[in-house]
Amino acid sequence: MKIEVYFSHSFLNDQSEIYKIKGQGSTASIDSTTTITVSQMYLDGWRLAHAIKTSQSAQLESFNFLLIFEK
Amino acid sequence: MEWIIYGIIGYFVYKYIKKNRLSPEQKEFLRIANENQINDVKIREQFLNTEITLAEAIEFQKKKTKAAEAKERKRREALAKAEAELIAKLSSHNNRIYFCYSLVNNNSPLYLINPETNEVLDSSATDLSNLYNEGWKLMDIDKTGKNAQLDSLNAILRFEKIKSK
Repeated sequence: MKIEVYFSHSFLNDQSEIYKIKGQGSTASIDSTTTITVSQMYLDGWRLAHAIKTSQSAQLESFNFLLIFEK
Repeated sequence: MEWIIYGIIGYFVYKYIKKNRLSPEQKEFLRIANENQINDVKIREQFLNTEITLAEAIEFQKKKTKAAEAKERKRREALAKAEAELIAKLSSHNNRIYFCYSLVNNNSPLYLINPETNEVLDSSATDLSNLYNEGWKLMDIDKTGKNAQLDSLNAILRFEKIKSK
């Protein structure tokens, strides 16, 4: 079984852009070269196992999420 | 009246400076002591007061440093042993709970927590990739802090061992 962790600035639907995060701690940043969508992840055989809302904002444009996929 | 008080203060300041002032010979000894890394206050004082020779001072300092190193090594060994025992106790065969300071990817360090002190056990560090390679599955994840910054996405993660078919 494999696992991958992605982040989304605004996770609204299966077309929302999601990215991997590179680095740890203070050097952690979005790796824009890994941009993908949930639809594409599912086509690649991944399944969304956990979605964690990381911020408290209730605005659609800032539904920050950490998405954990398994295969 | 004021002048008497100033006089008394001045006298004590003079006495203090005189008492703590090093003679030219002691200054030279201090330079030699620094050169030879004689850091222990007691040994240094004995050397400055010519109670011991330079060779003796160096030898005493070496012994003292060695003893301090041995003591520190023993302390670290005991700590590591206690931590290893605790990790073995916390490392259940079927489920484990880890803490992460900031879960951002597969390589984010995860730690077991000492239940008695609520402190992170540094030597238990692992990550999602390792746990999945060992056959663990992430069952629940709770974000513990309110902070939304990537460097502080604190989380508690619960894993279960996947039963092999």
